[in-house]
Amino acid sequence: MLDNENGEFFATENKGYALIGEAYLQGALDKTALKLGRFEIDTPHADTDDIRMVPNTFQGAVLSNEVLADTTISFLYLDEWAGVDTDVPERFKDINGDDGVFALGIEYGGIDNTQLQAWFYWGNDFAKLFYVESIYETKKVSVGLQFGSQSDDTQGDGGPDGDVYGVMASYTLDAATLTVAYNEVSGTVIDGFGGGPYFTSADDHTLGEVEDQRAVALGLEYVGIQTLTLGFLHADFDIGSNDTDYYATYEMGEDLVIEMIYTDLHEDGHFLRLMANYYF
Amino acid sequence: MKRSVFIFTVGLTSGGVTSATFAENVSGVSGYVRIGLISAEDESGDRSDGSAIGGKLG
Repeated sequence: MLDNENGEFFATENKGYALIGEAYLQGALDKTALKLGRFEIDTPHADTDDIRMVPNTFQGAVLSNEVLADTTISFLYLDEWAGVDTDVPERFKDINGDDGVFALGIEYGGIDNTQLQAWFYWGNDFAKLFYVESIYETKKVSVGLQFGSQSDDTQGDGGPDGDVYGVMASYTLDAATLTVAYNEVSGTVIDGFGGGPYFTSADDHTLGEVEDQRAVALGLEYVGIQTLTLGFLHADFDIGSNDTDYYATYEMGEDLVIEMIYTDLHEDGHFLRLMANYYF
Repeated sequence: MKRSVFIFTVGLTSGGVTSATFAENVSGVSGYVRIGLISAEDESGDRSDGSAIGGKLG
């Protein structure tokens, strides 16, 4: 910690911190694997969202099975989490009180150029989150469809309750890729435990937790200058401020990646972020 | 297995990073070192800055 006036990188009260984010036992029998402990996962509604100093990591269990051709079936139990999207980033804290969250996911890659996935998350007295996604992708074109349905499982009205659908498409010409995306929500949906899966999500803003939100996103990315990636993404939200991101990523060899992003939140302000990662 | 490991010595001033080095061979260690800088202005026009060194050691 060097300058903590802005608290985005830090623990509560803008302090530095360290934690044991990953420590797990892992075993496999034939095509079934079990992981117990603290680990990183990336699923639609529970993910690392590694956009600051410390990603989200989770405590629990993951049982995955690949006995069916081109299919991965995953059972998750998530008990605690820590990291960037939590209220107390520096400590593992309960997910959904003592109850945790269960999830079942099926991912299928048996169709050429197509990835399909379906997930169901459930937490007692919390919510039910259902999500399906299909992405078709070739070297030049990608098309995606997504649908989510979320229902409040609390005794009151504290949880999400709504449906969301989304479409996206991209076209690549030489070194440039143009992307468009659209999401529409009826009711209210949440991102979950992480950054969320929605096609129109920008660097800072998503459509989560806003009733009857709609969003359109337009992005352009260029990779024609050695290992430099230049990009632009504008997400226009019906309710609340828009989010326009300008970013550059430069890979220096295999070990060092430098990323700079300027995020314009319009009436909500703006910020410039520089991240450098050296991998060993 | 010998891996190249970043042993960092970093000094920051209000102007930015002044030094960042070095590597040596250590067995069985992997991860990353991350340097982050952020400069923000909120909806009221108030500015704030943050900078940090962190990483993952495994």
